[in-house]
Amino acid sequence: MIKRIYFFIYLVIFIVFLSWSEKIIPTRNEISELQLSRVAGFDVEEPSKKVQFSLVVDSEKEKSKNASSDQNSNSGKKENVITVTSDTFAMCLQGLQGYREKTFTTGHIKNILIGENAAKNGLVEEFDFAARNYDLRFDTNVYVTKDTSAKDFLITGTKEVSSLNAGIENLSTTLRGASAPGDYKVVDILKMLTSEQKSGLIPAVELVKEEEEKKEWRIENSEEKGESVRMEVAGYGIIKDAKLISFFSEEELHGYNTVNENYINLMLTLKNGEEKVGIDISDIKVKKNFVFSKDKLEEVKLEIELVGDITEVSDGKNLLKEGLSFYEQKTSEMVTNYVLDAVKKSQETDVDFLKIKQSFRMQHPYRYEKMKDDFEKEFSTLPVTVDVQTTINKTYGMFSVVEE
Amino acid sequence: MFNLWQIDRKVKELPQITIKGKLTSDKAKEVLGDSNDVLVKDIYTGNKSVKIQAIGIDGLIDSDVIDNYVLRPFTNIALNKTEKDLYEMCKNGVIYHISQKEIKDINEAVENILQGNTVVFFDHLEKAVSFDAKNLPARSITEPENESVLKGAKDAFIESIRVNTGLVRKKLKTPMLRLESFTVGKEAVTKLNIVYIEGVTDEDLLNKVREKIKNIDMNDLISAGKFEICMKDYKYSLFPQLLFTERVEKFCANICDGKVGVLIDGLPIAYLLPGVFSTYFQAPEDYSQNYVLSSGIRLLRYICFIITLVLPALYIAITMFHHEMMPTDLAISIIESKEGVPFDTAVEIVIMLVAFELLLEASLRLPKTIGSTISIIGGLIVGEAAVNAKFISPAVVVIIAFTGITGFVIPNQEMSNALRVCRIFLVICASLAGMFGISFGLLFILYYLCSIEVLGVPYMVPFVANGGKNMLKDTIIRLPRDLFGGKDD
Repeated sequence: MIKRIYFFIYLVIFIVFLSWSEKIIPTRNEISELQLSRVAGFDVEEPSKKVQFSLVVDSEKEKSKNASSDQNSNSGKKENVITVTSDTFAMCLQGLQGYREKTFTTGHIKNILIGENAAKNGLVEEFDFAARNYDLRFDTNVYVTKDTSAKDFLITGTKEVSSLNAGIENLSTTLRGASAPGDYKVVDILKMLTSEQKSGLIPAVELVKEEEEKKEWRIENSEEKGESVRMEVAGYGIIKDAKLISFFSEEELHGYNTVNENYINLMLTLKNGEEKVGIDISDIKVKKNFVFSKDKLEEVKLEIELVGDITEVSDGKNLLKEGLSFYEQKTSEMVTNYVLDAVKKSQETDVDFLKIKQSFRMQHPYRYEKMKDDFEKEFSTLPVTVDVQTTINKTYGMFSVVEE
Repeated sequence: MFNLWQIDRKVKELPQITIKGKLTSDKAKEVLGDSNDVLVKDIYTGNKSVKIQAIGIDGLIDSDVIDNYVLRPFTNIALNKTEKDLYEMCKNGVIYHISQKEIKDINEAVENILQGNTVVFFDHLEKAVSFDAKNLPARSITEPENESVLKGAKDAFIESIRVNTGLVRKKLKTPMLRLESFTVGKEAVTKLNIVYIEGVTDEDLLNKVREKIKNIDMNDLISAGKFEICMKDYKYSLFPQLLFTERVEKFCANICDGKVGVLIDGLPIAYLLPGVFSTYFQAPEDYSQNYVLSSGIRLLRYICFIITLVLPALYIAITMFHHEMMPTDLAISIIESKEGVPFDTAVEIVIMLVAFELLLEASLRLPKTIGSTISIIGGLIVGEAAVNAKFISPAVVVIIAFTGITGFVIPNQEMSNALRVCRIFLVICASLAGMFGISFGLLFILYYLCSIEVLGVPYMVPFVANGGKNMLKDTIIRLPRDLFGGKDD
């Protein structure tokens, strides 16, 4: 028993001593003394090439006012953007600590925005900082801001919406639902940057003026007056050698999603816009075939099978089985063009976002070993044929029951 | 470990009551002293040349039985008989009594008198005979106060050992039921019985229990705590090692499962040995409900065990060291709730834990009628006024309230008490080193629990030992017994 008591005493002493060692035990920070931020931005200042680190935080004035006024302070809360410019991101963070009486922490950052210029200069510095930062979560979403810097995006965003984080989270949902396989996290980007090619995709967001009517839809809110700017998903940026080199167009994005077997929805516009048919493609199967002549890769064939449903027909006419084949054919043509656009982009940029190289490696490992160094070069000039077969499932007419 | 004050608390050595002298009534009277409840009745033969004496204690003996079935026959047969004749006749059954015993020495005679028997002394022969005609003061059998059940028998043990053994016999009508009697205590002799079923209970376990009881070195065994401290293998352990119950049904069920029961005269509870960890999470209701429901509730108890142990420490660790672990909205909510509170989270938690313990202690000591007032005052003052005064944050009140509630879900109060101390230990660990400290504290507690044994049985059985056999039989969940070769359920 005496031994146990001694052991217990030693244990307590051990823990007490450990608690002074910041190498092992994290620093003790009372939560009420922390300044949380949910959105951060990385930029590069031109021409000094200094880095800029922006954080979206709750406005102190608003906060104190709300704290004393009522309990529903969240509803009227305002955010502002604090930007620090320095040589490194770590120094930026260090510089922030003396700015307010609270300690700035990156532990609750949910979304990181990278300015277009910074992304074009290379993502290594930003993500080196992200990887080494103890607090920053690896499941933080990452976006690149198209046509603007992250700082400007954040400043405009905070003016437009009451909670920028909620706005970006909403964009992330759009990205998931409409066109992409899911969010891209810090860990995904790190994986990409540590891969051999250092290439891949990164989700892009942009600020769009409502009157530009650039998107497939336009939203109006009676509360908003005057010129309004909206945050929108801008597809994907293409990363090569850890640098942003281009963005997807909308057609290329559809092509990318088709080849990667992601859900897509299409709108067939026929008869000069008089007839519109909405189609949801829910099941996509893609087969990548490689044609050889002797040992030389001659052609890549993409065989795509689509299965979908009609979601809406503008004139409400009954679509019977015979009538559907027309729409199936039109859908196939449309998707073929999208895929060819995406293939062209892949060939131009030498980035294997369609995973053709990966399929080739799996199907023909010996041949891949021989030509792996020159694959991108050969693929850039290789003819790619696309064969799309579409099946539209049974649908219902408004005026009568469809017979099988 | 935490009741260290008892380590050096030596039992005050009182001389063993060993009376030296002849087996006579005078000696017995001398030992018992001049107490007015000691009844001495002289019985003379016809010519008054022979005198025998009956001694008993008023209040413990049944006067009617003694008068009609002992004293009256004596006076009837005593005419012209010598003392020797009377003794022989008495011994050979002329005085008819089912529980009559020949006394060997004066010690035994005094012990019998004190236990409520009537002893008839034959002074010239230095012989005595004891007649068991007790009428001990005892309350009637009532419902259990602390282990009430919806479905099941309502009878509970009372303070009389003989009534208790009768209750057990009534429930367990098996010829293999064995009751072994022991007397312990140097000064105040206390009777206790061990109860088991021969062939079911492990012989080694029985021997260990017998050995432990024989080695009890106490002046008296009037309180439950004294018995427990004598029977524990790990005397200084915080965790309970003896399961007790006031329900006869539960006692008998455990005896049938191979446990050894101990009934102590004067205590309205019965002990069950060995009391391993999992038994403290079993409640009588578990066996009268559907096994799915019972399993769910049992699982909930284990979850509550973890919550009540860890929650305050976890809150400290997260809010002081690992704030990034909690959802951002919750973090913001906590930050807002802590606006203006002058204390660190650890201090807040300690204050609230102490306040909670104070309330608990105060309500235990107070009469029921004003106990509820304490709850109201506690709820209002600690819960609301302290929050309004920015003395503590509302989040801490929620944490402590939840911790308290989950602590009460555990059916055994002793286990719950042990957790209260462990909780504070973990709070200190968390305040010093966050999650690292909690991990360390939990590992230490787990190591300790896995290292102790109760009468040779590992405390954490069946989670440890036997290769985890029967781990799910009746522990975290309660499966139907037919899955494990049982007949019922």
